[in-house]
Amino acid sequence: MSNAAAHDFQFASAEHQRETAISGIWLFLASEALFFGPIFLSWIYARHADPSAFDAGARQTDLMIGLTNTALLIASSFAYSVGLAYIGFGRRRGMVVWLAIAWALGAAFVGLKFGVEWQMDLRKGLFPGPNFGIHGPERSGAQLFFAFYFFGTALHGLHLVVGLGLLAWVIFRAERYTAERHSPVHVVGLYWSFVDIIWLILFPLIYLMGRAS
Amino acid sequence: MTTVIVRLVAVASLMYALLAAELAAAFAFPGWGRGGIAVVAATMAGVAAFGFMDLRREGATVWLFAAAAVLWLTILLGLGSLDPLTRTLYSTVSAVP
Repeated sequence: MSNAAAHDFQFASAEHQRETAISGIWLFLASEALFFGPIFLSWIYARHADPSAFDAGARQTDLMIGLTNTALLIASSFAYSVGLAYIGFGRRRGMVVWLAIAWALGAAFVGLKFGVEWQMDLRKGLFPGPNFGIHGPERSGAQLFFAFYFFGTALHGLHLVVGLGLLAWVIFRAERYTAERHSPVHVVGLYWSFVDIIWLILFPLIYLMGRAS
Repeated sequence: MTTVIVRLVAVASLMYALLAAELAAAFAFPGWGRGGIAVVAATMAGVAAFGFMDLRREGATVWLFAAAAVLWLTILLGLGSLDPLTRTLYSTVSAVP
């Protein structure tokens, strides 16, 4: 495969190659939506079993960290989209700068979530099990909430770490991309925004629903 | 180039405004309730799909996959939550020896 070639041999045109790549990632993202669907369904089931105890668990979370992380991911998606726009106009250096900003914002999310928030939660004894820190009638429902919390955020975090790896891969291969040929940049950007969307659903389920009156 | 950047700034600004609305629904306007939070969250997901993922510019195949994802999720969450949301829970009576 030469950088000068407009498209790979199995495609009729560069546009055909781009359409195939974009359709493929959207099909993958559709399957990912179904992957996360049962987690959202488990929230409905678990909360319905004992709403007041479930909400009491939710109120133990740190809203400021959740809010900061949401702002970070929105900014990261924005930065990636700007980087994609830059390479669309053939400005590779600008793309690298904006993708590096997107990567740093994503890494800040991971650091804040797992390096700070999870540590605080674990110190407070909020991991479900015999040493669970909430006692009394709300113990059982609160444990259900934190089972959802740890599983949901771990799975989302795993996707985010994969995304950070993909972003780094795109940045290191930046020299290969041109205004006409940059499908990998586009494909990784779609995945990155999808991970953002998953968080936009998880954020209210974890931090807001239990606090709403 | 400038047009694209301005559009992306507008999308990001809208996302932050919706995030503020989500907080308002949770704390400032109790009348909005959890339904209000859910509507704002769904709107944010839609804005990200159209604004950052540029769904509106894609072809029929991509639209088909995106619509299929929404349909499958609707079926999964709709039918899946039908039981817990419609079942009446009765308290059990303990047998006294």
